[in-house]
Amino acid sequence: MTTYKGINGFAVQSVATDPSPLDEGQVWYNNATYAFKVTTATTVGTWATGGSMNTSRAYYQGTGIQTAALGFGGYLSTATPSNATEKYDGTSWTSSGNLNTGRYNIGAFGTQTAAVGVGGDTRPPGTQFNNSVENYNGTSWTAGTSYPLSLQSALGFGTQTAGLVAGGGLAPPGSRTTVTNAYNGSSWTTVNSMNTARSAGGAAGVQTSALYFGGSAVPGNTNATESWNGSTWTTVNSLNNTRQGLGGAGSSNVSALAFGGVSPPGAALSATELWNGTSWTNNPNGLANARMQLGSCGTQTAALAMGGQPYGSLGTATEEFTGPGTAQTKTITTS
Amino acid sequence: MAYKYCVAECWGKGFITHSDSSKYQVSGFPGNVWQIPANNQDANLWVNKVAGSFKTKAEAQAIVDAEVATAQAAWDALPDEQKQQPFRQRPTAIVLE
Repeated sequence: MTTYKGINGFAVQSVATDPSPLDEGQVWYNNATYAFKVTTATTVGTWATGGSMNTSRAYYQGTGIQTAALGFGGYLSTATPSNATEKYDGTSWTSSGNLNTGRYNIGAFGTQTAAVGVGGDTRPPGTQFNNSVENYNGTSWTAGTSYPLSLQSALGFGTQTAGLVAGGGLAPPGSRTTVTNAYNGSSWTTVNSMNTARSAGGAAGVQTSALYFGGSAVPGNTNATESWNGSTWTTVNSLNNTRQGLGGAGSSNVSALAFGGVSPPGAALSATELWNGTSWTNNPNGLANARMQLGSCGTQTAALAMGGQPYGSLGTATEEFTGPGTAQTKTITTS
Repeated sequence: MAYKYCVAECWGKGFITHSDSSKYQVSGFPGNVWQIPANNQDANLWVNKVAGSFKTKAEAQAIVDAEVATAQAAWDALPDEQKQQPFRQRPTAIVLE
């Protein structure tokens, strides 16, 4: 007869506390709770509520990872741009140094301790989109080298010293750009452009491997996805849900997550999709709080959705995504 | 699919867990209205966990309508310049399933 010891080389252990880290297939007896337990891998990704932000806002971006995130700028319920910056530690948000220029629809990339904000809309006051850049050092923001275009809702990828910015909305009457620029921490270099001019899409990846999906194009919203290999953009399979103002997360052009957004005149979406390098798959579990124009960051296996606009009012809700394949503990029962 | 509704105040972390979401979908609406699948024991237990108060669909819809109406009134009061800003749209009515 095949036994657990015969397969693993040791018997089922009796422990007072569950083991950590979890190892898929591991079985143990918890002698404090009198339960046999097993580690399995999740088959679908799930969203859970996180700590709420201090400032309700939408039309902004986030940087970093799920347990060390940064949210900055945005649009306030007072109909004014925000300069507020908040840090998330995986549990709660705390305020940090303000942007020098309050703005919404700001482009963003980097980490919690080294981020970049690009362009955005400062109205009111002000008249148009701008090209100003600010660098964050974990505490405060300082002016950086201006972006080559004045724009809003551009998407950023990568780090403060190896970044990439693509697309964006240009000054009214509402045209979009395909222009892409690389950033080395001090200067911008124009590289090959995207195929579809757009803004307010979802972003994943770094300077050498990125994915741009969905967004606001002319004449309408798009589900188009483009993959960046470090030198050129290639159109690949489209999102299942056409949308703009969505959240995006992911580490490269083969691992990304899309969530939320809107396709006017419809309501905000909760739909979540996973990108495997070839195609998008709908995740069974969507955001609990459907929303658009939200902040986002992280990876496909550990993403963060923050703030945004659920239905008109602005929100503070944070949700944390854990991707499929994550180890989880299950109690063994007779049923 | 049939749904049930409750009102509960989201306190943030731990309100909906990954374990909850692996068993059923919780969907939030204006006014702290939450939708869960009907005839789901785990979902019913979640309502108890979050100290939720069950509402009929009509009661839940009335709460949502009031919240949306407030948001629409706030939008209507905005100056025309702000209404015309990119991506700004008047809050739309929400019809519960």
